[in-house]
Amino acid sequence: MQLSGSEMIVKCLLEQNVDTVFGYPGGAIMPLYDALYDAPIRHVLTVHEQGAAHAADGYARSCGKVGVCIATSGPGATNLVTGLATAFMDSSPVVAITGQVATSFLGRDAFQEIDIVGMTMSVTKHNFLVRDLSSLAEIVRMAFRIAASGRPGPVLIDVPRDILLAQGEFVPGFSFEKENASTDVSYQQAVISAADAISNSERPVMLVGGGIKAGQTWEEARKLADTIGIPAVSTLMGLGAFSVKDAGFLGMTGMHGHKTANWAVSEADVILGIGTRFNDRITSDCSKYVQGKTIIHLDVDPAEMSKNIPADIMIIGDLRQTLNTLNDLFLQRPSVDFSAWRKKIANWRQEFPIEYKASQLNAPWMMKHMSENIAGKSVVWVTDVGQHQMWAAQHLQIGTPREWISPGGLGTMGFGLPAAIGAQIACPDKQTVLVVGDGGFKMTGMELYTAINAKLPLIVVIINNQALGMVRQWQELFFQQRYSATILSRFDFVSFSHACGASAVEVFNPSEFSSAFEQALQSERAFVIVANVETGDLVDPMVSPGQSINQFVR
Amino acid sequence: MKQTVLISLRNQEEGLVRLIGVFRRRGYRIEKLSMSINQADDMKILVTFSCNQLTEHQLLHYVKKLIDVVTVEVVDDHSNFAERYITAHQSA
Ligand SMILES: Cc1ncc(C[n+]2csc(CCOP(=O)(O)OP(=O)(O)O)c2C)c(N)n1
Repeated sequence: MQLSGSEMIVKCLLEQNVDTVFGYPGGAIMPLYDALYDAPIRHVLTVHEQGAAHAADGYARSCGKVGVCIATSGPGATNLVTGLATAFMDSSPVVAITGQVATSFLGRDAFQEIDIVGMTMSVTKHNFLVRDLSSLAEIVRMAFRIAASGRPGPVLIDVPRDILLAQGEFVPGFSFEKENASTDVSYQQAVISAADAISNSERPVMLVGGGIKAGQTWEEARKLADTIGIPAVSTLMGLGAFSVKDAGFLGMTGMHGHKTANWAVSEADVILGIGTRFNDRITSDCSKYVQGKTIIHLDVDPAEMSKNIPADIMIIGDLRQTLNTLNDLFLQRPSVDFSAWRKKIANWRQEFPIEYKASQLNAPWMMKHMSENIAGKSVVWVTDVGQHQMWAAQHLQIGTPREWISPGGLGTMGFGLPAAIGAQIACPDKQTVLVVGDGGFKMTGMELYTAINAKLPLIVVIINNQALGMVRQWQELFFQQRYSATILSRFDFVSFSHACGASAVEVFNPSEFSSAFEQALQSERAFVIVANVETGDLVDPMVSPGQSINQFVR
Repeated sequence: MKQTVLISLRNQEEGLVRLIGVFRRRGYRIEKLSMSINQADDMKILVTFSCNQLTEHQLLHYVKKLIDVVTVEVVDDHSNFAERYITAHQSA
């Protein structure tokens, strides 16, 4: 079959069951846009390429399929970088296709030529500059395979314009190589040592990270926790792997973790870390973190082993296999009595209850209220970065793995709105609710216009504290209340939303919020709630920076 | 501490840059580097580097993660080995 390079790309996208792409056209990528014009693929035109990359990422995180974004050469490509870096840090499978100047112009600083492959090497799992048409189809297939396999991540394909236009032979079909299961002796021994360590422990805790969601192994993790009778805590990225309703789930751990969760981790004698990189937001001071503990680390990526904290037992490989093997081992062993440990945890739970104030409008109450009033709908919660993100993580009642999307690793303000658009498109049967700060909303807020054009019934809750709240919080606590560049003047979000074509209301108290949320749930188009809260509201709890995670500033 | 590794790479144009990028990004200092490309277009690279707080073990994991990298071996000493090895590879 003779096809142009652009047509080959479209064919390859269809082979991969791509139904939606997010992008923005321009000179070098025009041939691909021409092929997309009558392809059975939905193209979502964003306002900015950063929006396209975040939307592809949000799409991928919400449904588990590879997200695809497209941009032109030069500025189009550079605008993708923040989005790719965000996907990279959170191991999200995204394929980016960029146009490039024609092969004969490469290296001459031609109009809109930029070395996007060089530029994105450190923020992609892999990237390609396509140098001849004959390798194009195989590169696209490889890109999808690399993005989705092992530890997922973004892959960029840079395609010169002449290759998009050239005609060549296209051979359909693709092979999927499955990664081999680990069977070597050291692996088996590590699994047995891990089981022994847990059997001999008194105070074990399972720590679940985003890897459980990337590897889609939450069922196995829950089953294992159940078999062992081990309590579980989660990182920001792992939220949803366990339901807040699970009796053995203690909540989020880390800098703004729940106190019970942080106490349990601090006092534990064994930590079973699964699909987590033991990031500094989780461990705070590393040496205090590991003191008196056996650390068992399960991850698909060998490079994570002992990178941030030294692990005593490392099990590298497919998480599903490891979790199942461990589960089988424990089923054969007599069960261990952790009742004293559970009692201790129950005491912390009593000591640190989570309380809500409804006297004035505040974010924790709103999170609880939304969770309780989502009216039986399946939901995808998306956040941006800042105080609202922590309030959402702490107080939303997250029950399933794919209902929580937050840019944990890179902490990218501006991620929220476009990612929510991607999620709402991937999951039309669910209600996507974005929780965002007034600062972060302004960064990519024009994508509201994208949500309107795509006819998405998105709910946007702007926690409007008229401040770059999280930075302001640190200034209040650690910089003698010198609020340098963090106080924002009033902005008319309602008029802005109306200008984009969205519905919007501003609320000042719980009852107004409650009726606005009810209205939003009925709305068929994007609905923005501007929730005004006190500038001085702080995120509680907060671990003293550089201390152990049971020492709280507040 | 110094360490020498022999890396075999598929000779894609970006392979070498990607490899060196890993050393730089993860804070390892390259002290010596020799490379050769043979007719079959695969590339051998011999690198001596000094470690920072991350161990050389860690670096090897990052290097192995690169899609273009075929094998990585720790070898004894750059100077004795390099010239002979690289010459042999080129004529192979
Ligand atoms: C792109 C980007 N720039 C700067 C920061 C640093 N930063 C982290 S939180 C924050 C404040 C966010 O303010 P807002 O969006 O209003 O949310 P709030 O903290 O008030 O909930 C800033 C500036 C960041 N994370 N991302």
